[in-house]
Order: sequence, then C-alpha cells, then structure tokens
Amino acid sequence: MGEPTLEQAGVGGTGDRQATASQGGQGEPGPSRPPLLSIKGLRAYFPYGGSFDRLLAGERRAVRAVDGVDIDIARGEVVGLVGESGSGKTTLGRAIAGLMDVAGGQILYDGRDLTRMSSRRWRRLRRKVQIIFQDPYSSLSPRLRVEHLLLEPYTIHKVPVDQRYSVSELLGMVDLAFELRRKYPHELSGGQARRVGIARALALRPEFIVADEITSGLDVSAGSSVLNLMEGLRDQLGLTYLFITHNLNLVGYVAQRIAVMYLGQLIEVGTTDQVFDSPAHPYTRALLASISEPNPSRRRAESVLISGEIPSPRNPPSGCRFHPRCPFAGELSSREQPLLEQIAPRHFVACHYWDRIPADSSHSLHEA
Amino acid sequence: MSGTVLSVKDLTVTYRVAGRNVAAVDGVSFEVQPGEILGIVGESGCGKSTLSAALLGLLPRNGAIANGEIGLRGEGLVGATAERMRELRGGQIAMVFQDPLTSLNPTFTIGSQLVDALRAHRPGRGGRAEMREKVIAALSSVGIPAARERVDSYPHELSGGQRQRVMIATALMLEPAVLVADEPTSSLDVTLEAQILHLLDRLRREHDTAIVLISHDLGVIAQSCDRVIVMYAGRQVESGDVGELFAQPRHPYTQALLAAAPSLSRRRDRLLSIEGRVPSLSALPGGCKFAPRCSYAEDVCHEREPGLHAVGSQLVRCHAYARDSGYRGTVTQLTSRAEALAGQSDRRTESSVEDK
Repeated sequence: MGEPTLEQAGVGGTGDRQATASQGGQGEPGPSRPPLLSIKGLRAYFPYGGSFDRLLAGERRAVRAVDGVDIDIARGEVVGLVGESGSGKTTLGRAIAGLMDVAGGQILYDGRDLTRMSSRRWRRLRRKVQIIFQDPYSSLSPRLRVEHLLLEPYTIHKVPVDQRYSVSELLGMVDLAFELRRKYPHELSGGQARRVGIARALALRPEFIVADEITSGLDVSAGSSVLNLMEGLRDQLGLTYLFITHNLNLVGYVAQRIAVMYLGQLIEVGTTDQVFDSPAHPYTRALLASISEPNPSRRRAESVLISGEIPSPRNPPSGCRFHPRCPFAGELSSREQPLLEQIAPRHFVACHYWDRIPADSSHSLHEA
Repeated sequence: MSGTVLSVKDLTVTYRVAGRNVAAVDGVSFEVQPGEILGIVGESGCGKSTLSAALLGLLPRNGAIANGEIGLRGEGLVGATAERMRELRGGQIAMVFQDPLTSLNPTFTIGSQLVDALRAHRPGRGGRAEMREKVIAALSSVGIPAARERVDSYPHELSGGQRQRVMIATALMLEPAVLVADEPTSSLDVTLEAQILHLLDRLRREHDTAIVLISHDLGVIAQSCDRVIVMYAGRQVESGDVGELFAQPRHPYTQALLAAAPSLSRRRDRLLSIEGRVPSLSALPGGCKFAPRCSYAEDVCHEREPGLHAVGSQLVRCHAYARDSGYRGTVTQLTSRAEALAGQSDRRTESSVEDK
C-alpha cells in the first residue's frame, strides 16, 4: 500500500464525540461528503537571516515552519491543533487564513484551491475564513472604541449595509454589555478583549474560524467562559473551528479530533479519545505525560519526562524529526522520514516503531 | 517553631492610588519550613504578585507595607534598610520570575553574571576561574546542553526554558534559604513546565530550600506543592494541605476555582466558569469579598467580613463554617463541587444537554 491519504479518515463524525471515538468500529469511514477544508502537502517557509547572510549563503534560506501537512476538516467539526512553541501550528493557522505565503501544496476550501485564486475572488472567499489572534491587545487598534473596532471589518471588506450586524447584535453574540461599545481596548479586561476579537471575526459571517491560543494569558475562569462561548457559537451558527493551543488540558473540552504537530509536520491525528486515551506516537505520549493535572493524588513521575527542547526548525533533524529526543528511536528513525499511516479508523501516526512501543507505563498517569 | 525559615504575620501591603491607599494584600499570615513548597494560588488581581514583591523588598514606589511582619530566619525584614535587603536578596531569599529576561542583564554573558552573583554572595570560595567551573557545573546540572559553551552566551541567545533554568541554576549555586517563584512556568510549554517543576522539587530535596510557588495554574500547584493558600482580593480565603484542599475544597471560591480548572480526566464534562469578576481593589464590597459572586451568599455575607475558621486541617474564611455567624445554610451544602456550581447558569446546562 502506498501512502494513505488523510482524506479517508479526515471526515465523518461531525456529531457526538463519544460515538465516533469508539475505536473498534466498522471499516473505512469514508467521507459522506467533501470536507469543508482540505489541506494537501502544505508547505510554508520563512526566509531568515539578513540580506547579507543570504548573499553569503548564495541562496535564499528558509525556515520550514510548515513542511508537508495533510489534513481534512469537515463542516461543523472542531479540530484541535496542538504542539509546542516552534512546532509551526500558528504558521499553519495563518496560512489557512491567507496571511502567509504558501511555498507549496494546496488549501482546498469547499473544493476551491485558495493558493491558486485571483486576489479578487480570494478576498470574497476570505470573509468565510477568519482568524482570532492570541494577543487581543496587539490585534485591536488602541485608538478605536469597541464600536468602531467591531465595524472595522465591514469597511475593510466593503460589506453592503444590509449584510452587516449591528454593534449591539455583535456585542450580544459574545455576551458583552452594550455599554462597553464606548470603551477603548486598554479599558477592557483580558476576557473582554478576547470577546471583542471574537465578535470582529463573527462580523463577516464566517464559516471557518482559526482560533489561535484564544485562552492563553487568561485566568482559569475567564478562559473557561471564553471556551464555553466558542462552543455555544458553534452550535448556534454552525461554525467549523481549527483550535490552535498548547494547552492540552483545555483542548479536550472542545475538540472532536486532535492533530499533534512537531517541527512543521503532523505526527499524530485522531479522535480526541484516541489521542488522549491511546496515544501512539512517543511525542504525543510525552506531551500527555507532561501535563500538570490539577490533582495532587496523580503526580507525574520524573522518569516519564522527555529531555531537551524542540530543535530549531532552521535545521530539523534527519529522518523522524523527533528521533534525537525519542527514547524509542530505532535505526530507521534517523534515516527515513515516517509518513502518517492509519493504525485504526480515523487514527493516524507517523512513527516507524509505533507498534513496538510497550503499551505503556508513562501514560498510565492519565487514563480516563 | 525553630524550623521555620520564612514567617509572614498579618501582612498588609497598600498602594497609593489617586491620593488614596488601597490594600492589595490584607492580613496575610503563613510560615514555610525548610524543604517545603508552599503554593499561593489565585486569579489576576488577588494580590499574589504584590505579596512576592513585598517578601523581597521589591515593592514599587507607591507601595508600602502598612502592617505586619516578615521574618527570614528570625530576622525582621519589614523596615530593613535597602542595603541589608540587597545583601539578603539572591543569597538568602531569591526569586524566579515569570520572565527571566527581566532579571538577567542583557549586556553581560550568563557566565559573568552568575560568577558575579557568586562573588557577591559567597565570597572567599575560590578565584574567578574556580567559580566559573562551579557555574558551568550548575548550568549542566539543570539540563542546559553544552554548558561549557553556553556559559558565554548572552541571555537573548537562550530560549525561554533555558533562561528559566539559568535562574534555577543560580539558586542551586547560592543555596538561598527561601526561593520565591512567581509564575515560573506560565510562559513555557508543557514539557518544559514539567522539567522546571521537577528542578524546583530537586532544589528543595537536595538543598532544603523553602519555596513559595505563586501560580494561577491549579495544575502546577497540585503537582508541586505541599501546602497551598488560596487568595482572593488580597486575602487568604482558604489554606491547607494540598491533598486535602483539592480533595475537599471548603470555601465556595476554592470550589469554583477547582471546578473551572480544565483537566484531561474531566474533559467529557462541561467546563464551568465563575460568574462576575474579581472586584477592583478601590471598590471592594463591604462584607465577604467573594459574596457578590457566591451562589451561597446570605445577608450576613454582605454585611460582615468573615474571619478564618478552622475546618479539619484547613482554614476557611467563610461564615458558613462559623458556629455563631448568623449564616443559616449548612456546611454540607458546600462540600460538593458540582453542587457549588449547580444553578450557576441555566444556559450552560441547557446547551450541555443539547450536546448529547
């Protein structure tokens, strides 16, 4: 068999997570309808070094921030994209939202390739794909009042008046009081600023939202309420989310599927229950074992931790990019790059040795 | 208690804001023993960072200790001269910040800063070359790869995780009696967070350091601390052994905080949040500071501020646990976390039904 494509497993359960997670299940869950978003072999690079560096190197060098990503996302689905800083998850989100030049591959939205589209058609389609940024204060102009911030997307996208929401409608959607419309961003709490960011994204009636670390920096309670808001909006408006986060404790509450990214590549994709209850990739296991569970009777042992840090994407390791930190690396690991292979319905892993890793002690901390 | 290295008694810290004094920390008391990790947890604005600044004598200009005592190995720190505080800081009581960049000088290499710290606080332990060797040993013991080369790096050349390791390496070298770690892992990824927390644990095991770990993250507290103080609006609202407090939170605020904490093992439930916001310090409510957000509040809660009451091994600032406070509800009412949050929002209950 050749390289399996993610299409086979990418779609399906847009509904109940519990039901789709049952592993045994029937055979191939082929797609009943085309995915809303289909990413194929996507690559996105950053140039690095100054022009002088590049002159010396004789060629344009690049950080391969996203280096060959395939994933399908069905309409109405919430996919959690997790990984550490430097994994490329934010770059992937920005590429989907059209904020990054793409070096190769395709982003098919509703069957149309966004990477090969005239800028006029692209602009219209782009309203349907919105991104919510992690730092609301840097994405909200400090000189505009909330009401102007909320209407700003309409001017930018030249939306006809009859297709616009009113300020009070937008504030209502994100559970903010109407009185807040006169405030400036610095007068808002962190949670309120996040909600304004969400309302701005909703203003354009999007179908697909890339939510990039929208709870980071918020207190526990404010984070929870933003997350609950997002869930409610999805139900009401039939939205689809790519939910980018480094917080594994949180992502389980919202995502139906989880994609784990390491150094520009997806190393494991599966339903939330598959990834959390039977993680196959050693890196996924290490991530899960590192979580600080709010439960003193379940402390993690030092022995389960992986050492070191994610290497620089300028110079990724050969073969499997995780092999220098992997306790289970074999001789193939440094030579050959493992591709995502299907190990169960909807469950994919990129590891040469996933089936030879002992079903395992490190993960026992976090059984459901 | 001869073993106590750090004791804080009835500490009140005020800031001068717009011509008025507002208390950011109000009547906080605790003790820390050698080798113990005390957690201080609360949301932004609860006063936990003010508390850490006060412990180190690093309050901003408009801040002052209005009342109370801080004892470091029996020596009173309130009213100590700036010079004496400088001597103690680093050597006797050290701090690890959320962002170590703020505490490392960008214009000097890591090595020269650490050697300077060693010379300032531990003079007479050999010459510069010898101290440099000690620094290299400390850096490699906290997991900095190629420490012999890294020692000549500048702070900006290190990753966030490595900078945090440098701060902990300093603490390993100087062996301060007390380490105050203020959100030491908040800007780090989970794998690094876990590594740093284990380094702190090593510090207390191998060097008997008393650690005050300040965090808003209940996961971090649960994984690392022996005892914990929950703060709200500048006050301690509950304290106790970490195992008991997490197993049976008594204060409605603690219960709500725990229920709102995301956890992998509870991911199938709906996340709960606490309605309302932490009150502004300049407009604190009259009675219990949590009463406006508390689903159990009765008249007495809005009228009088409760004292700290002992419940089992825990101390709880709540009228429901006082015999003659005039609170009519019962204690059993508050023992279940789920109950504490039930009825908090009907909308949520409805939508969680829809989910199924």
